[in-house]
Amino acid sequence: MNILKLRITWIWALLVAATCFSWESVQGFQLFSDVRWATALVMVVAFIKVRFIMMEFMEIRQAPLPLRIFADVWVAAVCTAILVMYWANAS
Amino acid sequence: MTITAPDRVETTIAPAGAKAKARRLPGEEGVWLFICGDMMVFAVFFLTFIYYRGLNPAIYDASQLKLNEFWGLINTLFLLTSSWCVAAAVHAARHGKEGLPTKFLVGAMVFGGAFVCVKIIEYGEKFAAGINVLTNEFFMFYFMFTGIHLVHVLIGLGVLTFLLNKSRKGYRSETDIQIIEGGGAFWHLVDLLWVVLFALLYLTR
Repeated sequence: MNILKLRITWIWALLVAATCFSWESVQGFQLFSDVRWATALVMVVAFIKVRFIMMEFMEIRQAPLPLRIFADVWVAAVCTAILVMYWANAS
Repeated sequence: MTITAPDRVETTIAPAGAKAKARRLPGEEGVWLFICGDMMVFAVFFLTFIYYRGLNPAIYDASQLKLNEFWGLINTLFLLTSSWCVAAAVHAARHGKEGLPTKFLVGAMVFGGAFVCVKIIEYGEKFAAGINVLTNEFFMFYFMFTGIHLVHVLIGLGVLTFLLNKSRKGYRSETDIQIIEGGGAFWHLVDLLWVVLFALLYLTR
């Protein structure tokens, strides 16, 4: 089994890169002068990572439709609610 | 032929060249009920945290500076890698690769164990600095959420130990495959919850 040919290996590499990017965007290079945008970016990246874990590692991508819908609604709803509540109080 | 009913567990293997890929639930339905319930509970945790953060952002910002973000980063990488190991173990088990699931599961447990070690070091640093669950609201949430998550990690390590013992006999039947898939799904849940906790507790400014 060649692990480099596995789809999950590339997904893992993407998740690691996204994690380092999020960390660096707060710690090192600061993309935004306004921290609210940096936080929003970190949060969106986190939920994109969550969706990748759900769809690829948990294999929800190939799961019955109700589970796929639950996963997508959870990601969209929780991410949106966090961003709205954060932004409402941070401005 | 392949069973494509959306709410049923697949029990047969699709023939090569089948055009439509069958939808199937990896693992037992009961495991997924638990996972979905847990995700709803943690969703409430996340929203509660962000709500109270908004009421007093100064305390949260000041407290967050006392966290060691590097430990948070390392632990995220440990769990992501551990999750990959479990996904690779499931793949190997499905394709009848004798011995490989065991190796991948050992790898998953090593990275999962490393997460626990780092968490213990991190808690130790906080206690040594006089910081505990009663210090302020931020640290109450920090210890409560990461503590509950740590319990999930420990349960997950127990599940991985069970899967490891089972892997020595090999994953041969459809039921065997469902067991490793279900256990793996729980471990991935532990991973994805930490991804959000890391962003919320360590990186939100």
